[in-house]
Amino acid sequence: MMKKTVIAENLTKVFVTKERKGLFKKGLKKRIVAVDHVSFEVYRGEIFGLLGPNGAGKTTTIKILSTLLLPDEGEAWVNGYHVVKEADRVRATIGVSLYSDRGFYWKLTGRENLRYFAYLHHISPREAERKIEELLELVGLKEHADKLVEEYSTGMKSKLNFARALLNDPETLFLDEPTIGLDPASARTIREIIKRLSREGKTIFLTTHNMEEADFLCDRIAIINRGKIVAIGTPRELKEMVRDKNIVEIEAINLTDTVVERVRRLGGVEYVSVTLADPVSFKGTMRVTFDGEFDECLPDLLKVLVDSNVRLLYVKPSEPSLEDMFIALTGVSFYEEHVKGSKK
Amino acid sequence: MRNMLKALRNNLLVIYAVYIKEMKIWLRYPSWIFVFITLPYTLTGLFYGVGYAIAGNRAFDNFVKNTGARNPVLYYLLGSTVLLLSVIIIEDMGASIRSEQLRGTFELHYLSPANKLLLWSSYVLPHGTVSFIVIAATLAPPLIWETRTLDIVSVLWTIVLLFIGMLPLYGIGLITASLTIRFKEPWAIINIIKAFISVCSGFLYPLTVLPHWLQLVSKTIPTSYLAVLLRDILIFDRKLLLEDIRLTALVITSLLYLALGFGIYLRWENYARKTGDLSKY
Repeated sequence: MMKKTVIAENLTKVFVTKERKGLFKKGLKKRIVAVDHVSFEVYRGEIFGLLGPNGAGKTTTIKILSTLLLPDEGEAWVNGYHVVKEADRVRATIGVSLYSDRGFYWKLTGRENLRYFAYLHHISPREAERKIEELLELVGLKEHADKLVEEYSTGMKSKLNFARALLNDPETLFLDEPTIGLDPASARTIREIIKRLSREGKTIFLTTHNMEEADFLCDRIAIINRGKIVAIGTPRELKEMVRDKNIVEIEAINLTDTVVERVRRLGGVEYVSVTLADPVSFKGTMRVTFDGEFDECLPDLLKVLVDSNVRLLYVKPSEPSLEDMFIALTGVSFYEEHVKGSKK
Repeated sequence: MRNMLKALRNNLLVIYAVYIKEMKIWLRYPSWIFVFITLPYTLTGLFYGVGYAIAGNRAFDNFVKNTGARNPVLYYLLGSTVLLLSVIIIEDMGASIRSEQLRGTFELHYLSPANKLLLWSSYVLPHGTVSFIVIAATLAPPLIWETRTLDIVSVLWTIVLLFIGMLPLYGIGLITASLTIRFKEPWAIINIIKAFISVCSGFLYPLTVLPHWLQLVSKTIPTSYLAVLLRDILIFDRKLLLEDIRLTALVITSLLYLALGFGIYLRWENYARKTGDLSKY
């Protein structure tokens, strides 16, 4: 039986925030349930992804598991240690990467930053030098190791951050949005390293709001929305949840709100989501999920699009994606800033 | 025994890490050296001018009568250097934890198994080193001018006193750090504390010039003993004895302030782990 390295049982975290209203008026206090009775288990050597939109509770969960935050309810164990009662033991066995490009002393070099944090992890100077050399090689920063961090690019800082998380050779690695803000090449490097570490037996717990990344990297994914886990499974299992749906992907110009609304009203259409690539010409990709057969629904869909002066670039049937599954489970679209999703 | 040795090695490693990091950062911002060494001279000139403006030709006689010292330059240089170092440490401790928070490095310390009390108090060593260098550099010219040489015991006592004198400042620094992280705005609190310490420590005048009630208040402040003891060694050329009651008072009050600082800090730390304030900025 596989060993469980992370166990979360009913984790709950509530934050109280104060609204500001003008100069003298007292603001109202607001309770925000960031994590709401979340439970899951992660096994040794697994890449486990916590996938959800911004503000879903991903970072709060990672902070509770890495001992930075105390839960209001529930319990959690990491590498066999209780995150509240045995916080120091948890810290000694985990690596955490919280910010992609923050968290460094800018007047120290990359190597000096790593050395400082290695000593805080009680790694002896000789062992620290060996480990730092190995990690700089791993993340491709060897040439820049002796430059001040203030001269680093965002990508270099992210890689250094990643190297720092590995200093103490952790059993479990927590990565909060590990590729956010990175150029494609740097993101690819980080993803490859994550895969390699998993093959070497490390447990990786990562959060992301990048569906493709989660699909590519994770052995299992937990979908979190508004602090609640709405589904857990392998990417394939999650996509199977919408296997019976017919999905069509359309790339086109002039995909305005009115067009989306018209499509949404069509018979047989369950969900519509649009990702706009160009907000001026309304060029983008529309994904339409039908609960009926293509033969019945597609002609009506195409007619509405043509009548609405939409210039079609391509139309093709599509395999269910994690985003389709997310919309099916939550009724809302994932990338709220970029997509106008809707449930009929 | 083996575990104890391992714990000792781990703790020494943390102290070493903080020392090297701080010294490197200090040395890569070298402009502070100029400020630290010139400001006491500027302040001394200022006090000298104020004294003369108030008392005219009688200024020097009044000074000798009130302080017992015969060299106002040395007296004010020592006073303003220690004053400057004290306020900088209070300011630095309060503001540096805040700037660590803004930089994103603060929370990362909590991801390491290093003892946090040891970690934050380790800052006393690099700051103590810098303080000693600054005092040595500032006081060397007037001492050479007077053709005075300090024996090794006096130099060692100066170093010991400076390090003990740092402890309460760290305690106060931790209190201001806790309050500033809680309320996010450090300067109001820091400036009030700085003003209080400056007035009640008697860095620039003997405490006997203060009203009686304020003299009583100053007895609760460790830096008031530090100022008197440093003056005894460096200005009056007196030998400090271990049984000196002022030394005992300095040690006891310093430890009390440090303990108070840590107590408040630990309470805040627990609060911050509940509310997420460790990473809020």
